[in-house]
Amino acid sequence: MLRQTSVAIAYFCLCVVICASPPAQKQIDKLIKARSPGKLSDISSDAAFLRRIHLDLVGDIPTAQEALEFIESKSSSKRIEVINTLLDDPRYARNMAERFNIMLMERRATNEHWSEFLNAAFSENRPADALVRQILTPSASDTENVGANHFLTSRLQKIGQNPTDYPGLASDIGRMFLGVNLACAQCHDHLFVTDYKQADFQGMYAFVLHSYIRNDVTYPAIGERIMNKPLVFSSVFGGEQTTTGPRIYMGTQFEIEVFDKGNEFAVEANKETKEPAIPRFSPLRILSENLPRADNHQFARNFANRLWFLMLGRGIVHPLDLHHSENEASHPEVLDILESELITSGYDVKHVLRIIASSETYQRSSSLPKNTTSVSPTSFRSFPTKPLSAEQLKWSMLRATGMLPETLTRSETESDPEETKTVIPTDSVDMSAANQKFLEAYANPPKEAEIDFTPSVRAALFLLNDDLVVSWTLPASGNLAETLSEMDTKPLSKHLFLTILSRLPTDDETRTIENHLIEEPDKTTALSNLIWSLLASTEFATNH
Amino acid sequence: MHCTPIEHAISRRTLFGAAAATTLGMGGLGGLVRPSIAKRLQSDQKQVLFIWIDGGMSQLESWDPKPNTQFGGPFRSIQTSIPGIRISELMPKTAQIMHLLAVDRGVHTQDNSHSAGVGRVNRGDPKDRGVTYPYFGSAVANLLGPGESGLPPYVWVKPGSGGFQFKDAGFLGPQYGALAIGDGQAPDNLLLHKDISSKRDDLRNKLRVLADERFTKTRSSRSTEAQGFVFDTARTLMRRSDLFEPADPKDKERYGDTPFGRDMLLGKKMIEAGVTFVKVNSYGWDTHGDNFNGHASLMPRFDQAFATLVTDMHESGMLDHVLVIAMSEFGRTPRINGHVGRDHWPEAWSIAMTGRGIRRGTVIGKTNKLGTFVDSEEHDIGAFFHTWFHALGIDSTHDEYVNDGQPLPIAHDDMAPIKELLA
Amino acid sequence: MIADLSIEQLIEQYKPRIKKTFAADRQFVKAEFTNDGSHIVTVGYDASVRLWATDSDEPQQVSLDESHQGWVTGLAVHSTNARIFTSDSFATLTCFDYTNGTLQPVWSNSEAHDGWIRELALAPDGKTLASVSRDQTIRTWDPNTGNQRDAFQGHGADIYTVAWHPDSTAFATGDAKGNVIYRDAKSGAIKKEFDASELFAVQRLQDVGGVQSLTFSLDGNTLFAGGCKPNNGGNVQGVPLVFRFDLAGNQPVERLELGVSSDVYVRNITMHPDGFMLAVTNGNPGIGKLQFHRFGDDKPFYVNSKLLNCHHISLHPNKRDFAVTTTSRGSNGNGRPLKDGEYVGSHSPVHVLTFDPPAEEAPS
Repeated sequence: MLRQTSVAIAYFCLCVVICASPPAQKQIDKLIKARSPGKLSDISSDAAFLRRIHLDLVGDIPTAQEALEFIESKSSSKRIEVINTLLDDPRYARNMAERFNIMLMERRATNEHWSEFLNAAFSENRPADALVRQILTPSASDTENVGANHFLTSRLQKIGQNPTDYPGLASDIGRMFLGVNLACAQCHDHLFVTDYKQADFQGMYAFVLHSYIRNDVTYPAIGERIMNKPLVFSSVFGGEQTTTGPRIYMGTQFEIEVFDKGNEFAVEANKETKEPAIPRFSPLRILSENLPRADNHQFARNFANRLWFLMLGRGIVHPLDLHHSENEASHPEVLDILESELITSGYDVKHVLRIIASSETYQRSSSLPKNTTSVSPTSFRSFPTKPLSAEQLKWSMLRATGMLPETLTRSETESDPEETKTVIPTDSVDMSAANQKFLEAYANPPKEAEIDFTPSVRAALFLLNDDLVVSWTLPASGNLAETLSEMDTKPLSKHLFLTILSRLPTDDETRTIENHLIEEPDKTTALSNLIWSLLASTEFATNH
Repeated sequence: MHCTPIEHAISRRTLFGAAAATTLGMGGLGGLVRPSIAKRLQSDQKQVLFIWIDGGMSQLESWDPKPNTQFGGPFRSIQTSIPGIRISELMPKTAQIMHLLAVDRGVHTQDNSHSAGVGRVNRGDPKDRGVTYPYFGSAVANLLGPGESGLPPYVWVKPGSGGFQFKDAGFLGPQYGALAIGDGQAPDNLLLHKDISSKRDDLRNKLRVLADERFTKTRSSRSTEAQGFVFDTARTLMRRSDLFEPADPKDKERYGDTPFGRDMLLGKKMIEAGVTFVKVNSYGWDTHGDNFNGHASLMPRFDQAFATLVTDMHESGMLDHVLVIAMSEFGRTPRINGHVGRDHWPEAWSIAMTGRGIRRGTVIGKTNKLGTFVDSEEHDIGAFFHTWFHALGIDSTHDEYVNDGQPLPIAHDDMAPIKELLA
Repeated sequence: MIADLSIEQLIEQYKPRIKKTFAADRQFVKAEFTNDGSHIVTVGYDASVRLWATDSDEPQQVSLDESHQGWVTGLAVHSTNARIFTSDSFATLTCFDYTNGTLQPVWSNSEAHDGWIRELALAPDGKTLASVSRDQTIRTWDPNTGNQRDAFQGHGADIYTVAWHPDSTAFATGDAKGNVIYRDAKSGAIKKEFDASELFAVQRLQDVGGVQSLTFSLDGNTLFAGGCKPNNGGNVQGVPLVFRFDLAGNQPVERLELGVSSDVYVRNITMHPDGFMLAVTNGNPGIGKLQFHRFGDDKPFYVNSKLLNCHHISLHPNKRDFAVTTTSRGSNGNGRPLKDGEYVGSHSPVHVLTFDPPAEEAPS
């Protein structure tokens, strides 16, 4: 009783805080409407909103009970409340770690230290600038953030006889943290993007060219060799040679500090521990200190744009790594607001996600406006249909079929400040086998960004014929199939739709179930078919 | 008895056993044409068999030998079935069917590196328009469609890993990527789940389709179309699991029991099954070192599979319907390096083709005496794309893709079909 | 004997220096000293056979024959008379006389085999010439008349190399798949087969590697086979390997790695009577090694990596000088490298090296 009261008070206080906060989301909605002539979709149904916000913030669908309660609740602040609840859910950290891993690593090989690093960062809502700083700092003998350098080391892995891909690393730092893809400006000024010059690429390149993967430690770690002269370059199309020191895109060059021989190292190599020497002049350290900074607008702008992308499925600048003057933002003032909110809040990721989630733009239905046959994706007049990642599909299918025991409830963990780690339930299903299969079926090959809904024949064959998901549709201790087998048609239909699609069925849909239960007399088989058909539907496979 | 898909496949195996393959698979023995081929001929579906020789086949050790010259290497040339035309002694079987082929020895392309060259050549080197153009296979899959087979329109038969590769498709979108079959292995999960009958599979898919129809009532159909397409393609593949059964040993012997021989046989099977565009890859041609001993074993194995395939397709009548192309990303340098190898040479090399719309028994283009540069009219890859689209009945100068509202020409603006190669 | 010398002493005694260099603007496969050392014969990719006088500082080409076709890769020099034997990739086998410093054909057979005649070897007693070919046969010939004596089968592959036992009764042949067959020269009976298949690999569609060189020890008790352990086809890379086969048994007694994977093939092994072997590896363009190995050591006592892409060594009869056939610098490159508008091919500088120290300047 006492605990419920304190929870209620906590929610009340939150509500007050929210209502008094600046209406950034209102400004955003106004700007979206102003720039996007034409009818807007209605605000989404409660069911659609609940499923959507769950998938975006915690990477999982709501339970049938949560869905029903939400649909039936009369509270006018229920949407705000659920946003805040989910932002504090332990699954939030897991989900953001997974989504940032997909975005930053583009399905390159995983690393457990890196996963732990990301999980910890999102658990404590670490500011975005700190996160990026840690990723770019060449780790010394530091024991915190040990996985952070995986972003860098994975790009430096040698593949066969190919040379180490320093240009690729330089490009990826630009793409992920500044939103600029300078890869095609390595050998000459970019042929179609006038903003991207060869000097821009070379400036970024100068930061990474002297780095290497350390082999004295078991976690991903970067070392640096001495840099004592600038890079010399010239265009392959002819022209004079120029030099550059390390320079962040749109920034000024950093002077290369040259030290006398014998004095170049801040820390000498340690022969016993095999720790390498650390040069006094460390370009990566300079990069990590200067890139994620308030006076580097491009950093905040890119990060804000990516947060919008995570929620709305499309960047305000799109593609996400092509910010330049000829690639107009669809709603530049909206991006300005998000950029500013990010900076002034101290790079608070949850703060910006909360703003976006609270907007009407985010809460709009994915159904088209009346009498409209199509809507441009850049207008945000409708909520776009977004893909689910392999991870989201896995968690959602496990929950939908009832194969994921509820060891994780908010009320248990809320009052336990120690409980910041996500507990992965292990007794229902072989999770590592399931992980593997879902990744094989749904993840892109390495270096292919996951942006649009691109269903694959491989995934279809997986759902059709692989035993994993098929077995989840058969009755087992307390799962969906078993629960449904004891129900009559009407309650069965309701529970089936609430559990899998997080909404109530229409009469037509209930009739379909009724018909199927007749045409397939074996109830287990019929239920398996019904469950499977909803799991394989586009409605389930997308975030709409 | 009503034959449902999975039952049909099983009963055929049990009723006819392994003998079924030999009696039905006449291939290049003249006489009976397999029922599936007959059906294909009737439908006159336009198809392409694209043989990609990865790494750069040496034109001097194949189509355009210059024996006894400074850069000619050790091998001799041999007479072919076209009077006056000689090719390398390393291709004796192909020499006998030269009258079925068209070869252009005057190819001059732009890139001398694999990383740039492979992509540029496969895309037809269109003018830069800020978009990633599709590879030829994706382009044809898009322009011609999947036909009636229900199989993916673009299948890639290759050594190594298989899977669904949509990188080739560029701006056309993943739907026009390739289904890659690696080492002849069927895609994972190809066979229907052991506890599910095909009747039940039909039922559950009916339910799925119904759910999607309802979902798309108020939304753009793009997502449900894509989802529907992949399930339809998956289920069609499931019904064609016979495509992945082991080849007839006699055929294996004729094509050569090598990775390329086996893949050419599978490629032919895919064409006969009605796949619009089949690409067959051969790797390992980048002979910067030991080029001559290298080609001494590479060429005969290529020769055997290639000549057998063209002969089989000619005898079955398929050659009139299927455009066949054999090429690399560039040729190899006349200059011989210190590792007794040849390096990359886009300046003067050769492309071979035959089939639908192509003139047979013709060799155009000339390189100079030393084989260093093209002496006659030069052709870049854009001109070949025009030629091939034309052979397929596609108007390459007027037809366009439309990408997000932007019209894009399908082949290089400034080039045109090579009339001398067209029938 | 050098067995007792230290490495430093060995280097002092045998460290070579380049005496003279000659080249044409074409590529050579082999350069061999004639039996009196007065001339060098070169054969190569331009189908030429050239005779060079070596007495002056600047070696002079004194005779040129262009009757061959394709590549001339087989060259055997008679040990006593002024005769040489050459073979080409168009299956022609020719005997030349070079008395008076001019190459004169003595006999020629344009269908000596059914394909590329890869290598020739003349028995030390000068009475039999052996040839091996891509047609997978070995043939023996009367060197004086050119009449064929015999043809032997047994290799199921392209035969790359042949070498005679010092006593002239037997020879060994090595093929593209790493098989070595040692047989009686008269009857053709196989005396032993050796497995050097580590020198061979099938990579994708390609047969890679093979036995590149075969040499007997001077006492005839050991047979050396050289090649590489291929990592890959295409641009072949692989650690250079030499197997030392004991003629009593057929297990390799020794397996020597002569470098790293960019050094690739051991192209030639030559025995020095003082008790060491000279070997060359050809390597990637711009790489090459000349190495001296004393028998019994596991590392060479001398390595020279300044001679690029070496293909052959020939020891002068004085045993103090030797010739190494190399390849020009900058022999590789993709795309169009024109020099003054001309497309330039590679060529083969032949360096004559000596163990002799430089002559003292005579006081005037």
